Amino acid sequence: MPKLLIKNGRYINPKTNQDEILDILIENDKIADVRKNIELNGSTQIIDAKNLWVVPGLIDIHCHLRDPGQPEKETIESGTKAAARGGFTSICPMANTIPPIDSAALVEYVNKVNKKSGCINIFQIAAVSKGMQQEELTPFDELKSAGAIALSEDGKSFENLKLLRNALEYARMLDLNIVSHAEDSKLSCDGVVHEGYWSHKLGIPGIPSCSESVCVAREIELVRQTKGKIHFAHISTKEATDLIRRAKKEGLKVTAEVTPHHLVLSDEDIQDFDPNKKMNPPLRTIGDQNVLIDAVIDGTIDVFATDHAPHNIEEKSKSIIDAPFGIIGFETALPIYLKVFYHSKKMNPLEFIKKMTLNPASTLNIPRGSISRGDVADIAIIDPEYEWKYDVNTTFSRSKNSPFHMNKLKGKTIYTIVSGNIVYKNQ
Amino acid sequence: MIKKYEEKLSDLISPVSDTQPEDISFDTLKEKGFNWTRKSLLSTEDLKKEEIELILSTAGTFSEILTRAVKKVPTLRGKVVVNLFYENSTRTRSSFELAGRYLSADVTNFTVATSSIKKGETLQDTAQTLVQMGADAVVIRHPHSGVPHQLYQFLPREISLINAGDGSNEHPTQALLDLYTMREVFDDLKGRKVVIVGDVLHSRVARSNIWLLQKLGVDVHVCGPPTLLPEMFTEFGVKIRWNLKDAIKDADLIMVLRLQTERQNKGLIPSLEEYHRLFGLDHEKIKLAKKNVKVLHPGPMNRGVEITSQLADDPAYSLINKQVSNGVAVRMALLYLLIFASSKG
Repeated sequence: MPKLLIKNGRYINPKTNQDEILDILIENDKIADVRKNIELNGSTQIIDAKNLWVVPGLIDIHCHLRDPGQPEKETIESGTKAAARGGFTSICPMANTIPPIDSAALVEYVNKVNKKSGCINIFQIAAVSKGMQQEELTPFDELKSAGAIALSEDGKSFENLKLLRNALEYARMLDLNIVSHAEDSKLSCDGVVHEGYWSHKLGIPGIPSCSESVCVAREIELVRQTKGKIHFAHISTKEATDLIRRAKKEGLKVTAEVTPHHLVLSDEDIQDFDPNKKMNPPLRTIGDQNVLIDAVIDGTIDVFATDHAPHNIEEKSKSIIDAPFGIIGFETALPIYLKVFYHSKKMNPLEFIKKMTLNPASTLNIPRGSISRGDVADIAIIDPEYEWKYDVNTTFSRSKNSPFHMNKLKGKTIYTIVSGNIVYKNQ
Repeated sequence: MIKKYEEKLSDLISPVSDTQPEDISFDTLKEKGFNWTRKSLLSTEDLKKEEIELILSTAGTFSEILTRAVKKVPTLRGKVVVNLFYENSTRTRSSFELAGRYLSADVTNFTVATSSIKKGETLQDTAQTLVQMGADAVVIRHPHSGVPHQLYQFLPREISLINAGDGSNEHPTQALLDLYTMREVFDDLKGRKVVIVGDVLHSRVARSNIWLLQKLGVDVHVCGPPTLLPEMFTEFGVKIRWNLKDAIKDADLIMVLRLQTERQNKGLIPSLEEYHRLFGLDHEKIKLAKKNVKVLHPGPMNRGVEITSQLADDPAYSLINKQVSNGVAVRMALLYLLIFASSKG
């Protein structure tokens, strides 16, 4: 395998707290050297990364690839390509496929298909219960051995708290994390947007904030009881954020993530009834937005995720009531997070990159997220100042359900490198 | 300001007239500095005061047609009106149908049971079909909020789109006919107290009326149980009441909303009996309002639930029958104004 040399880049590696101009030499699939002014001749491919950030490949611990079951929406091939375009080198798809990923065979299926047609790493999240029916537990150990990285019923909340209690206890033995979609379906009822001023004004059924916070509260109590670990997916409300902050202060093993759309869109944006602004949890208020941003900065929220959720146009052009929840997000996540936290000067590059690399890796024990000597050469090369317009018709995803179509964005992935191979290059 | 316009309009709808609708134009209004350019009506919220007045005065002129032996004028001859109904509504659909026919438009009904809509045709495809059929106006009713707004994105601006009720969002023509009916009782509604009673949360009629009446300086109160009347409504400038007896004190007008009986099954109210006891309007409770108070109901009524039969049928109070005939006149006015707006806009 030829050598790859990345020169003159701004090397940002949260694991070692380094942020300086360094060259990186990649040999085979590993990082062979990191130091100033590496000079090599011969068969070395060189990338000039002057004025660019050279960071660990981004990691998304919350996405949906619809494979198996819904190739009209996404496949492992199209999904990993879209993720690579966004700078991601590792992603964790959720288990709510058709059928749900509830057996070792299905985890192996995903890994096999990814090996054949995917271009980045997949660390599959498996279901907590068989068929996601919340009656019997899935075989956690078998799933882990097959490559599952965590367990989740995402898309559904835990209605059966006894099952969740058992899952937390059993998963503790295997050091597996449970990822929680905290929502009380009875409180959400037929709601499709945030319950508040705008839902009442427009006459659209609402999802109250307490639908999220009551679940976070009771699940925190289960963590206290079991000493297990819960990672809260897509936190959207002030109330849930406050509960998580308090639980962390008490030393309970809880972590949390946020999505890009909950930081830059709010319930005010649903006035046009656009189904591409329908997601679950729904777009909350400007007040919630500000609380989430503060919670990212104070560390209550550990991880930047995408919740990439592809749906085809036929389904997403129905009424806001009938259209399914969710939007795609791989290709727009980085510039949106940059806008909210870096370009606004709320975070420095090291703090920023940590939320998309080291933190997601340590949350779910993913063996990635660092670019020190000897690490696997998963790297993203980013131009944080690159200005572009997102045309959803150019997406690599099979779906086009994005509320950010034609938005002006700042910041883009220029190269995505997985195990030493360039899998995406900005054209 | 619209006197001259009204004279020309009367001329147009005279049975022996050979005036063409285009001849009226809106020039008489334009001279007074008012330019009617509205092509579509999706909500009452964005209606301007002058637009409201013009709709009401046009309806006033057109209402005379309904009293004639031969209820037909050629105003919309050659125009096509499509009733696009995704939800059963005999009353509103018939009202639009008659309004169109009295003005000589060709009216056709697209309903869920008989069209490809049910087979999952997208709104974009439906819009294309309407364009190809040469529709001049489309009247849409949908069980989901916002669908008229979505369809509007796909239609060319020459086609008039009229929202005939979308989910719990709006029902602007109902609010306009309610307003027309109220104005027959009170010349000026400014400062008048109107109480809207019932399932405000799920009511498009309530929303359209709230936005419309507030523009005219009406003192709007809403009344219902907290499960059907979120406190958030105070932010819309209306006063919230949980007690009907307190609410209707000194009321000039009371609008009673239909209670969908499935609210009980959904656990929003304990029983229809309790609802009737607390919020059902009857001769006893209405004594607390002003002496000459009048009652409106958008229909269809649940007699004995939100209103007693005796009160609904009492001509001393009830405007309910008037609402139905006024509905046709208001919809005639809207079809006329919206369809001819662009050619003279």
